[in-house]
Amino acid sequence: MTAAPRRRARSRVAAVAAVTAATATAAATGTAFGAWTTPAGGGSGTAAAGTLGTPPTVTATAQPGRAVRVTWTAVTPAPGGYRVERRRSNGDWEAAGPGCASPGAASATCTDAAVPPGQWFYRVAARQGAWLGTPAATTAPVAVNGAPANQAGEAADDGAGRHPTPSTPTPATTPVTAPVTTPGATPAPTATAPPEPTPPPSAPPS
Amino acid sequence: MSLSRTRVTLASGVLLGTLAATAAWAQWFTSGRTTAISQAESISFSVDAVTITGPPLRPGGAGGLRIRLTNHKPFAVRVVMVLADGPVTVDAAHPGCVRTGVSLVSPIYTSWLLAPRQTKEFATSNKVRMTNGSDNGCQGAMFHVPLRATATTA
Repeated sequence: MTAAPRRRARSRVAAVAAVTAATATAAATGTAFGAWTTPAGGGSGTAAAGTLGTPPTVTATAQPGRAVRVTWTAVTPAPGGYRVERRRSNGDWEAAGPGCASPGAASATCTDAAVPPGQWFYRVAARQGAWLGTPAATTAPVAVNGAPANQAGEAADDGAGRHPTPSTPTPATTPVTAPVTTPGATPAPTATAPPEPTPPPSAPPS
Repeated sequence: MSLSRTRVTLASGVLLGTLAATAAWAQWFTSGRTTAISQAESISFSVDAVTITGPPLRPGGAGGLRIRLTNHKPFAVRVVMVLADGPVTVDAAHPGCVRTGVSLVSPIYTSWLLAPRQTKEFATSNKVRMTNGSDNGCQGAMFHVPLRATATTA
């Protein structure tokens, strides 16, 4: 073999070796079969959010010691708990006191203790996480500690616990809903009415 | 001359043999199978439908996932993973639902086998969740949950 063909032969061997080695390396690292795994499938789904139910019925009953017992019908499916709120005739809704602060899922009643004197309305809504359901219909008014139980009395309620007595002590007429008076309390106006913190100037002597 | 050709042939043979063995090993290493699949036979499957199962979502709750997949190739594939593919969005009728609290558990590791050219439905539970932080305005909303699946040769 002369020198030239020998060099060509060596070159062929080197070329074959280089190509083969490169291919083998690629195969070993998997790049030659890169289609084996693929993120090809894409899609989407739709999820519906539920809603919280409304307690069908809610009632509030005055209890001794300026307390009010609130009872409601449980919501189905059961929520995480309930929120009980109260308000005066012309006031804004506020959270009920500690006894009704956060009734649990299994609760259907609570007792709002140490309720300030006055006439109160209650309502209850289901809650779950940050969700709050539509509240049930407002209860009939509950009079605590002898607060006025008629329309005139409600209208005179200034929203801060003060209940000036009517200028003419006429009997209660046409109540909107049947009031509940705390046992032992005496309807206003009487001498036993709770002390008024700041009676208006127009309030007559009792 | 004859000696040189012999050497070339030998070298080529050894190297080709090495290539074949290495490629086979590489395939086994990657897929755990010895069936060869060429580049032209790349995997092709599609997610035909996704359904969120179970009762409507509520804070603290979760729903299942039902997915219908189709393998478009004449060889079996295995779906190994389902991933979230973007943020969950809410329908336009609930602008107050800013924090949806809804998310897809991701990744979901699966081992769903699809026979050649098969369409099949798979299900998994409690994979779409709603946290207690979901806004009150999300009540009654509809959520769009994008996802994608990854498959490998079976």
